[in-house]
Amino acid sequence: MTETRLSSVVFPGVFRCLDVLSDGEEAVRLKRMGICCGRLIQVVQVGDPMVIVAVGARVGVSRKLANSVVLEPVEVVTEAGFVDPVPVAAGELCGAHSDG
Amino acid sequence: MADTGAVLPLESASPAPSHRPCIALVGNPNTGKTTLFNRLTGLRARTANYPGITVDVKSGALNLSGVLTDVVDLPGLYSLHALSPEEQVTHAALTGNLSGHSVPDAVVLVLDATNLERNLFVASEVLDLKLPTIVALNQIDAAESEGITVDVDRLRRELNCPVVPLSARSGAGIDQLKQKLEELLVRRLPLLNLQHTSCTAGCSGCQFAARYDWAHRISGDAVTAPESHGWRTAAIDSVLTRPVIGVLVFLGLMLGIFYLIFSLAGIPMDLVDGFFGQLGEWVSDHLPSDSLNRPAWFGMASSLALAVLAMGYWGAEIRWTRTSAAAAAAVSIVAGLLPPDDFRSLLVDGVIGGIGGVLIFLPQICILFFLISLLEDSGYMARAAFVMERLMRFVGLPGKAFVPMLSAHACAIPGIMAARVIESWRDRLVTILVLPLLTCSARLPVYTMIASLLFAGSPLQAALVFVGAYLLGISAALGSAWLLKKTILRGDTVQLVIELPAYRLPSISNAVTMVVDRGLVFVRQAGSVILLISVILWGLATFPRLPEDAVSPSTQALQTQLAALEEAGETDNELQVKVDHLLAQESLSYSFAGRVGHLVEPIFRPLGFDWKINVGIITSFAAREVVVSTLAIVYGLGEEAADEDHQTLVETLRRQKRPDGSRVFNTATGLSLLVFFVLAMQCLPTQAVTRRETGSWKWAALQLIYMTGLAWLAAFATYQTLTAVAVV
Repeated sequence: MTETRLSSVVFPGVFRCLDVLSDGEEAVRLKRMGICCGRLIQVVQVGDPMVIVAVGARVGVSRKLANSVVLEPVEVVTEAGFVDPVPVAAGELCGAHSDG
Repeated sequence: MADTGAVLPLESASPAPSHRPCIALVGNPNTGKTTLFNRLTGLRARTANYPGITVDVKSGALNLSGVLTDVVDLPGLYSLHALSPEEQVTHAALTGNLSGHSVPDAVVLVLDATNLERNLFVASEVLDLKLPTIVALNQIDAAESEGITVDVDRLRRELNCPVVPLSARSGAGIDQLKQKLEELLVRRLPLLNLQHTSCTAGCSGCQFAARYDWAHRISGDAVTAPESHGWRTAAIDSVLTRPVIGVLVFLGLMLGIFYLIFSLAGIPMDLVDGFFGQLGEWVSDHLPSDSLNRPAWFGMASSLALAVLAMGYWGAEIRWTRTSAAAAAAVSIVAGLLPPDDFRSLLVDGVIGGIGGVLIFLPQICILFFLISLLEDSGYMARAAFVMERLMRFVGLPGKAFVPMLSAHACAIPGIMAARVIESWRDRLVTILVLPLLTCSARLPVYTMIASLLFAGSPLQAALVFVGAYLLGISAALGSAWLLKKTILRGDTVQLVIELPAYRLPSISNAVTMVVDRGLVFVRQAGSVILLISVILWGLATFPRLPEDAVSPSTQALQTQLAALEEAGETDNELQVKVDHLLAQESLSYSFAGRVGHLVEPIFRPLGFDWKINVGIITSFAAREVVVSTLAIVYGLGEEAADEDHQTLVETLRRQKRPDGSRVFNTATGLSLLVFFVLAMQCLPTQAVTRRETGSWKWAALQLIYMTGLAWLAAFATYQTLTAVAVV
């Protein structure tokens, strides 16, 4: 699987968050919305700003902020097209990304 | 969150029995917290503000088997890592750091049953505070209708606290919640296990991820949801969040809102106007015309003044202390010593006229808040902020600033209040500072007068005046925002991260509550700061009184002629009206306002204004539209001409000449006056609300100074350019 940034996603799909590279308030704003290490993120509308689904809620994110979110694509889309909420526990995934 | 199994005696965390127990409602935004608050308190809420900037926190009383408790509706938050001023208040309230408040005696943690996993993040943080907590699992009916089932017993075991499934909207489960609160606060039963281990204990990595892992595990164990959950919201969003269609839908909705405001507010505005007009006439008719019985007059006048002051104190939330009581007594005594005519004028023109002139906009404000509340409650407003984000970012503001800006086109006051949706304090402040530049409805009478004055024979040119004025206001607001963000309020725009909540039917009762809250704030302002300033402006335009020997010879001649007719038993109403208008004109010229008008002539002459226009600018400082009635007085037509005989006013203004014989209201002066009124901060209510929302007169003063400076410069450039190219 290749790493990518949320801002670089061109087509809707399902991804797993590997890291959030920004600091301070921006990181807090992303992480408390569920955009943090280990969570599944479904991109439903690309552009600036873009629409994602994180932790069961639709979230609008500006492209600049999305650029700090590192993802890897996953293949867990159900028949209905929704994310199967089976994120990897943060402890198993985020050893190399201690800040989340 | 591990269960340690130990149950602490509640007394260890119980409130001291001497004070009224406090219940704090806390949870994510859009969880139905306010609806639950209204259910518990029966809409009998009061709103408190906290120092610094204004954050409204509603509180109300709840009777639990005869024991009165305070219920506090804390602002919604996504995390106790508080970023916005509202979240900081919630965090401070829960940790006992809110000035004058201890930690709450009970916390009702409101969770949305339709999206439990997301809500459990905040739940994990709140539970870590180890306060006596009861979970209110709200919107359980909506969850069931979507096929979501929640294993409440499982959730209760996992969270180690009582969980009450309920629907704040229908009222189902409210009694059970009250019962749990009663057991906790009145019967003091050991309901809660306060000794638990945080889900982040021992976690050396990301605390957010640890909490979401925990939330995911609990949710996975306790919740079963169909795969089609959320399809309706997704389908609607496939249209409403699209870049072009989304913006068009938003603008269309706003157009509809403004249509409703202007079409529905007309009748109540006329009623308010008529009420204050009738009240003024009634008071004028019933006040004695002379003070033959001096002690009785003094008692009545000073009592009336004291009643008005008490209203002002209530509005400004001034407590009755020795100093404030002494000040009220002194002002009442002075008012009681005024001659009857002056006292009547103070009461009718200063107090009733001043308050009425501001409260006339209350219907527009209430309708605007009602409609915005419905849109917010439906979940749409987040989409509006989303689609406008990209456009607003060009001037350094977030998309959320667009709604206050649109609101300000009806009135700047609701716009400023609506700016609370902007998370970043800096962005909120910039928005508040530039909002009054947008054309509000109070400017329309001024635009109408100037358009009629300059282009009466050309509807197209008159229409262009209106369009130009609106565009100038919008450009000035956006330009000023950009400049403020580049200079004194320098900083990057906070990048958008916004939850787009599921669509739902809005609550009418929540909208009504919001209208009452915000409307009351406006009424309080009108009854306090605005009242004070109205009285000051009345004093400036009334005193010193015109002595008989200062009346002009021509007016004296007409007075003599009128007296002779009266002696002969005849009446000439036309002559009487003419004399009254001339005396009003000369009185205004003789007053402090008239003298200031002369004094500031050197400042405004480069803009093409004479002293009479200056008087209009001074008296319209309280409210812009006052300039029309002031010009009617100062040009000898009488105040009523502004309302009843618009054409005569325009014709009279058009005929006015300068000492050199040139027209006063030529194209250059007219457009200069228009530009001045588009950009100037001629609205005291707005200033008062700016002070309230920013917590400081400093920002209100900055708003006044920069807008007045901008208005002067733009009017100067307009007049000088048009004069130079001979457009006069």
